[in-house]
Amino acid sequence: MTEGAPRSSPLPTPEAPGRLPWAVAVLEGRNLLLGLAGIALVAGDAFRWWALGLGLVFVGRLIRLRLTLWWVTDESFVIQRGLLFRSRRVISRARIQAVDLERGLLHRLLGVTEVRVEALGGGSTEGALPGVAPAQASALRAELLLRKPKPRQREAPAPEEEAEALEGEVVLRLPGGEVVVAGLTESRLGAGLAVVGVGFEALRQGAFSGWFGDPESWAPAVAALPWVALLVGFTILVFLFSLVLSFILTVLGYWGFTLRRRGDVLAVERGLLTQHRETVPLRRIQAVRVVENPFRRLMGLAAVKVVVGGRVDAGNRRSGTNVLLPVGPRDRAFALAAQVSGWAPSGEPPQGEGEGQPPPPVDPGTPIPNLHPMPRGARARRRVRGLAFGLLVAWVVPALRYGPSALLPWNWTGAQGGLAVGAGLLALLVGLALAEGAWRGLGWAYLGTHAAFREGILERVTTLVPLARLQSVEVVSNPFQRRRGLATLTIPVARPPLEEDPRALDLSQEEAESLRERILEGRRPPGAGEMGLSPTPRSGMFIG
Amino acid sequence: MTLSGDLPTPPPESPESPESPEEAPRPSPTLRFLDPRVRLLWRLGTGIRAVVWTAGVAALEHWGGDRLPLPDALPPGALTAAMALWWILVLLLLPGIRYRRWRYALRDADLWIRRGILVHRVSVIPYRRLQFVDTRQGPLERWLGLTELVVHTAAPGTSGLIPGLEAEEAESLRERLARFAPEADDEGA
Repeated sequence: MTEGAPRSSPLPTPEAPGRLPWAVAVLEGRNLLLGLAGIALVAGDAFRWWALGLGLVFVGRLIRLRLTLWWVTDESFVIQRGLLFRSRRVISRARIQAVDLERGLLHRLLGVTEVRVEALGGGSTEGALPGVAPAQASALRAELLLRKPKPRQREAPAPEEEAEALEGEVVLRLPGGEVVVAGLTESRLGAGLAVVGVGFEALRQGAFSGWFGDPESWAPAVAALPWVALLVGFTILVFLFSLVLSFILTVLGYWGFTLRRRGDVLAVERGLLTQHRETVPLRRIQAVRVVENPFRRLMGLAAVKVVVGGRVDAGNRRSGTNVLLPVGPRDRAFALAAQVSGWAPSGEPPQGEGEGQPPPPVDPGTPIPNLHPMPRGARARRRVRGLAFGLLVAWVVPALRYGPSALLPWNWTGAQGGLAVGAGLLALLVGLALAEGAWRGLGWAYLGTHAAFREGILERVTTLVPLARLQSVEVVSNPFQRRRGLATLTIPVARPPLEEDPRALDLSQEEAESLRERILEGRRPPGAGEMGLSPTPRSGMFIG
Repeated sequence: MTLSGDLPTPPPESPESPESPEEAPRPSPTLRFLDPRVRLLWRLGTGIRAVVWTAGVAALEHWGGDRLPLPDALPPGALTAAMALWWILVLLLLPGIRYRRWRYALRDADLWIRRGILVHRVSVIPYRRLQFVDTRQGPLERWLGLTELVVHTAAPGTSGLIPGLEAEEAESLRERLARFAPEADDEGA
C-alpha cells in the first residue's frame, strides 16, 4: 500500500495517497460474522434473505474501504472516501488534539494498527483509519503531533527512527506488581467485596424475611425449595465473577503502563492484549486530579487522571484514556500532577490578601498543596445530612424486618419502635462519622498560577487547575448554603461533556467572592508563569 | 475604563440591591437591570405554558378522571383549579422576582452576570474567553423589540445569558464583544 510513495517520505502524499491494506477486510469480516450470528438467532426462516442483504452491505463496505485514500500535506491530514458520493475530510494540523493508536488481538495477528485522530471541536473521532501498517501509524503520529504546521524541509527519517524519536524520555513505568496492586485496590473491587459480605450477613439474619412472611416459616420453605438458595448463590457467584473480571480487565488494560514525555506531548502506552498508545498534548490538559480511594489512602497510594479538552471519549468509552498513573505512592502522584499541570511550587506561600492565612510553604520536592479547611457551616450542613440519614433508616428498617405495614410509624409495636430507635441511632452514628469525613475531605488553596480543590468522603479527589485554563468563574449558592453563609465556586474549563468542572464546595461566601476576584485578577497581567498564554497586553483593548 | 459610559441607553443605577448586598462585585462598575419589558415577555411566555398545562390537566380530569387514583371526596374540577391557581401564582410572582435578581455588569476585563431565584448564580466571564456571542429573538421578543444575548466560551454549555436587552443595544454589545478574538493559542474544545 505504500509502494507508490517515495522512499524518502514514508507517509503518503497527495500525489501518492495511501490505501488501507486488505487486512482491514478481515476486520470488516468479523463484523459480518457477528451480524450473521445475531440474525441467525432472531430471523428464523428469513435468514437467507437477511444474510444476502448483509453480504451486500459487506461488499459495499469493502469497496468503500478499498477506495479510502489518505495522505498528509504540510497543512493537514486528509481522508477521502466514497465511490459515488465522494467525501474528503481535511483536518488541519493545528486542530489536531491527539493521535491514538490501538492494536487489538486481531489487529496484531493481521499486522495492522488502528489510528484515530481527534481534533478540536469534533463531536466524535474526526479521522479514523481502521488499519495501517504499524510503522506507518507511528510515523503518522510523530508527523502530526511533533512536526506542527511548519513545512517539511529536511528529509523525513525512516519510520523506525521517527517512532523512536516520539518515545521521548520515560516519565514512569509501572512494574507488573504495581499493576496488580492497582487492580486489587480498585474501589469497585473493595466496594463489591463489602456488599457481598453485607449480603451474606443479611441473608443469614433473614433481614428481608418480613416481606415473605414469618422468618420461622421461611427457613423450612427454603429447605423445601432449593432453587431459591440456588438462585441466591448464583447471583452472588455472578457478582463475584464480575469483580474478578473487573480485576482482570484492569490488569490487562494497564499491563506495561509506560508514560513518556517528549517536548509538550505526553504519550501513554499500556495493555497486554489490546495495546493502546495514547497521546496527550500538555497544552490540552485542563485540570489534573489526584484520586485516593479508601484502600489506597490506607496504603498511601493514589492515582492521577487528567481532564483533556476536546477529547470525546475521555474516561468513558475506553476507561483509562485519561489516566496518567494507575496507582503509585502519594508523593509521586502529586509530583506528577504538579509536573503535568505546570505547577512549580516555589517553597514560599503565595501572598494571599484574602481572609484566612496563606497556606504554609510547600516543599518543591513533594508538592502536595496545603489546603485551607472549609468553614464550620460546611460541617454543619453535612451533619444535617447525617441526621436525615439516621431518620430515614429509623423509618425504613422496621418495614424491612416486619413487612410493608410497618412503613407507617403509628402502626409500630414496641418491638418495632425499639428496632427503629436502635437502627436509627446506629445510622446516626455512621452518618455523623461520614459527615466529619466529608468535611475533612473538603479543602481549597489559591496557589497563584493554580488553584487546588479537594472533596470526597471516602474517595478523596484533589483537583489541580492551571488558572490559565479557566473559561469563566461561577459562584453559586442554594438556599441551604445561604442559610449558613456558604457558596460553591466553580471554574468551568474546556472539558469533555461528561467530566466535571473543578469546584470548591461550600466556601464561605466572602471567601468565594474574594477568591473569584483574586483568580480573575491574577489572570489579568500576562505573567510569564501562566502556561500557554499569549503575552498580549489587554489594558485598553475594550474602550468602545 | 468601563463600558458603561458609551452604551446607547443610560444604565439604571442600582444603589439598592436589597436581596444580597454581599454579592455586589468588587471593582463595582454599574450594575445594570434588564429591560423592564422583559417582565412582560416572561409573563406572556409563562401564560402560554399555563394555558397549555391547565388545559391538559382539565382534559385529563374530564376524560380520564375515573381512572385516576383520586380520593372520592375531591370535587370535580379540583385538579384543574389547583393547576390554574399554581400557574396564577407563578405568573404573578416569578417574573418580578426574576427581574429584580437578574443583573449584569460590564467590568474592565470581564462580563459579570447574576441570576437565579432559589439558587443564586454569579458568573464572571473574561472577555478574552469568549468564543461566540449570539443574539436570539423569538416572535414575542421581536414584537416587543427585545433581544437575548448568549455568550459561549470553550467550556461546554452556555456560559452567560442576558435575556432582556433592547434590540439595538444587544446588537452593539454583540459587535463589541465579538471583537475580542479568543487568544491565539486557545485551549479547549
